[in-house]
Amino acid sequence: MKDSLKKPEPSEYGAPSMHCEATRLMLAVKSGDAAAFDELVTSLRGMSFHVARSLVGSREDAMELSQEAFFKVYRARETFKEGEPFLPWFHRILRNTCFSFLRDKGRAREVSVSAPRAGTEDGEGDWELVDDEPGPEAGLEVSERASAFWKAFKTLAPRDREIIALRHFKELSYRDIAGHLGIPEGTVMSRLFHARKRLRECLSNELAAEIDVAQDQAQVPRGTR
Amino acid sequence: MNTSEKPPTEGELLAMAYADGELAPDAARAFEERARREPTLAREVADLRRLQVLAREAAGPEPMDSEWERIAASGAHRASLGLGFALLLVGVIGVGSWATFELWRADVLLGAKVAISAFLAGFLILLAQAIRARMRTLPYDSYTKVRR
Repeated sequence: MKDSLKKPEPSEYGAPSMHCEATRLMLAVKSGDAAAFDELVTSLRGMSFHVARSLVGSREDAMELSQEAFFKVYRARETFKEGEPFLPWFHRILRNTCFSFLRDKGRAREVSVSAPRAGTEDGEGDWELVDDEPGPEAGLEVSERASAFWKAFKTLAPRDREIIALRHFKELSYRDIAGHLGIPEGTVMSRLFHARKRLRECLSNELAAEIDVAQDQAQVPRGTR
Repeated sequence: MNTSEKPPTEGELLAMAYADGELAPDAARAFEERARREPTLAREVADLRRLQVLAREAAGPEPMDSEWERIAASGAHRASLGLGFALLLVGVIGVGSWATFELWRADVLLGAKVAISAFLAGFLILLAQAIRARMRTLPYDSYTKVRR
């Protein structure tokens, strides 16, 4: 299967990947280059926003938590180890920042390591989101289809949400997602496959419900509305 | 991956990689040939593409630079408010303690000293209770997110 996937374009071999570029910038930040930090923030804040929003829902909260994660990176710059890839390190910081926020709001609880659930690695502890907060669509003019999408999205486990956000919202390639999460491309494909399968199942129920509601409304006689 | 889940077949993985534009050109051509013979694979690609379109529609725009600037400014604003309240609290406690100390040293009637001290103590107790009650109920306050 791996042989069937795209190889990097010849021109890409010379250019640093997003993954290497972020690590290079972080090392520059560690050595005291403040401009490199600004560049790092600007290049990663879109991705960081999508991941945070997939976990916390609200657009405003996602922006603030992304900002907070970058502050944490800056404060912890001395602890960043040379030779370690930056993106998985940053992803852990961002994830923990979001879960601390959700836990403080009573919207997340840790799932026992002995009871792995769908969308988690075997034996790895994860968080279960228990929120009834408005979804990312709140406050925005969205279609019924988009609203059904977010309802289905909110039923997914955090790991499913993250990988869907990286692929569908940020439109990253498998290679870039692998770089972000610090996992092999094969694992990205497997996770993405299962996450999408669960999303499509929930989505078909949500879309069916939306169609039912629309049909019910269409059947109500004009004078009774 | 959860072990209770059925692993994807090679065809399903190829369909996913094809829909995502991740297949190498030769592999993509071979898959197109195969999808013509296997309608389930063609349906899988069509379903995934519909999901992509829907997700793109639902995602909405990324925040603009001006929004990031506003968030950064609001952080500094909150930090300065917090600092202001902390300094005010320290000041009130400091001035109150100093005034009480001076009051008890001054040549004033004992009754007046007791009355003024009781007034200050009562004020501080009520203030502390109000702050405590507010801090406890703040996470459940549904009006904190009201947008004007």
